[in-house]
Amino acid sequence: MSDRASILNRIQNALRTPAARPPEPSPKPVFPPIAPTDLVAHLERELLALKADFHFSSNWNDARQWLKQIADQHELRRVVTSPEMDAVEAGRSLGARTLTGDGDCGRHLADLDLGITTCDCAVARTGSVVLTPQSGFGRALSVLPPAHLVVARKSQVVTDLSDAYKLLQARHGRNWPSMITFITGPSRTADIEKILVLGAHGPKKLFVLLLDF
Amino acid sequence: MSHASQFEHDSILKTVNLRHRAILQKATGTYDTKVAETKAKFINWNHGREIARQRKWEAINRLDFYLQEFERSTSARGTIVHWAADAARANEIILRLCKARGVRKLVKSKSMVTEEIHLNEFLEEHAITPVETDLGEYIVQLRHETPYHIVTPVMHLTKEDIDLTFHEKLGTPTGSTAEGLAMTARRVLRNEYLTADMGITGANFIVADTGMISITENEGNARLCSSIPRIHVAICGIEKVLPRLDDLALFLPMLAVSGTGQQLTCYNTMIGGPRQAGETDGPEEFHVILLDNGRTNLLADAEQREALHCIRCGACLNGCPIFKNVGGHAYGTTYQGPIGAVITPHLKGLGEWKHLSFASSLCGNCTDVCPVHIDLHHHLLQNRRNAVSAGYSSWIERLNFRMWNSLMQNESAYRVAVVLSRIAQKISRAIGLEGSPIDPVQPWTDKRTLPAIADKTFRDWWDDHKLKMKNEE
Repeated sequence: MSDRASILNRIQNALRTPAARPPEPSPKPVFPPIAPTDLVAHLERELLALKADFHFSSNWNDARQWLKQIADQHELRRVVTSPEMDAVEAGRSLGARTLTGDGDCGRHLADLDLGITTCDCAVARTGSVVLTPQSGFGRALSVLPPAHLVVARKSQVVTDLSDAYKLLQARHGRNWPSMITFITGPSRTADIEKILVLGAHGPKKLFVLLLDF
Repeated sequence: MSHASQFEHDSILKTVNLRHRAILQKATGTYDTKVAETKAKFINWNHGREIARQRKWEAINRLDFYLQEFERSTSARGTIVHWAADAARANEIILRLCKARGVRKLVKSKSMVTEEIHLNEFLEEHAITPVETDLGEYIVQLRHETPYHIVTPVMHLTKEDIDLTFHEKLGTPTGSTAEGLAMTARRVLRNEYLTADMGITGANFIVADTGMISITENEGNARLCSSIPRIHVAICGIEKVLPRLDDLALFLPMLAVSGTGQQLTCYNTMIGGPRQAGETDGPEEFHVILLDNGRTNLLADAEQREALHCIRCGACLNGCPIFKNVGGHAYGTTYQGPIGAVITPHLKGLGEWKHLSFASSLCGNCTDVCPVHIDLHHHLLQNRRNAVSAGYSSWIERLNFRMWNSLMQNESAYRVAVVLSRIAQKISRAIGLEGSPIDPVQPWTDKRTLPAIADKTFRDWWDDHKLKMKNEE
């Protein structure tokens, strides 16, 4: 018998004896509500608590100023961007090279200062940005370079993780991408004496630029 | 030495080691503070636990259905699903794959299942180099140790210990800060991701409906292991199943809060296939190995089946007074603490591993802190009961309990025993016998001081008291 058949067989035999079902929980909410008008402020608070950088812009001029400022401050010289419109526009002021996706992703992104992507949505509750290989332009761009800039639109901010999953289901449900990642702050570790260190293996810096225009 | 004697030996050594205790207290203290802070962000943490319990019940009690649903939906995207009945089969599948694809070096992210099947030793025997990339696991690998804790592998080490390890193994100068040490690991491991032929990860959850695995981490090493090498292999216990993708909306925060006191860990990544058409990078092959290795034994025990609901957050370890004294290594198991004590007898044999269930104060804190509300302390009791009824107790223990049993059922015998004990204790104390090597109850009195047996039993006092009250009337 194959391992598959023998495991399934053992499971079915085991389950012949039923286990007591736990009581049905009431449909009360688990998390407190967030007012729709407070979404962006909540997202910002969470991101800052996670030691990410956040900027809210209502026009490109303002966004470009902020981008120049962070580029100077963190010496972001070798910059690449995904070819999505908002990312390219943000990359323009940083002299970013636009990726083509034709053999220039994956391990080829090792020697850079900053990668720029868009996202599928942002979750206010947890301060997360949600990326797929479409919005993140593959898997490596948002994790291999030492800094990551996400350009998002205000309309992409949702309240909870479950809202993010609903949105992903609606957008990708018929043809799921090979990966979905919820990024919540810059890479971190507290393995040594529970002391927080940023930039364990992924980006040390996470910048979120939220556009509202 | 038997596992039980080894456990006793190691626990005594750790319990008297005050430096070890101080390190552990600091770590669990920091953890407790953070958990309390993040739990406060829920309006109803307990309610979340009950929902999580219900979801896991649903998954485990229809495990065959959900595993096949997972297999069907993930295979449609090109994932290759393997089934492994035991550790040997899982190792063999990986080795075969390595040989067929010419893999000489692979990078690994943190996975307790690979510890369970001793994958690293197995690969090294076959001239394949596994490189651990999680910082804690990397340190463990450099020191040739086993992980001390399922979530915090080097909880037992100080910064100075790790500094010295890096100095000895990597030749770095001593005197680094925690950040310096982490940056050294980052620099060394960066090159490993780029040159490895395969990435191996575990899985925190298997999502049945959409055919994905979900990996929870903070460092980004699991993302790199599953992004850069041309082959990605995920190995997961069959109990990791959740019915629906949306279930993660509850389980990801529950795991983060209980695991590390975070609202959500830094990276939560769902992977459902190799690089798809139109995607710019990612592995060419994605394999999932579904491992049984004794889990169906536990499934067959309807009374303890819910122990398979465990999401390996480590909360019961951090909250356990036994763990806080004996530490993680004394258990001698892959899974430490209360959950380890409950499941190890099912995975590796009750006769050899029953002692862990007896090493408990049954305070119930493990049950209270469990995010999926597993009734852990009652399962410890059930293991004890099962061990006794299977005949795994010593004749002297059986004799003692038989005597105790008859004594407790016979009032006059009990009264005589109390009087005799009182006299015996007085004599024993007067001549200095208590706790000495020739004391008949030395294994007990050796480390504990019994309170003096009262001169009057409660019943005698009550009778006298009643009489006195009556006389006063």
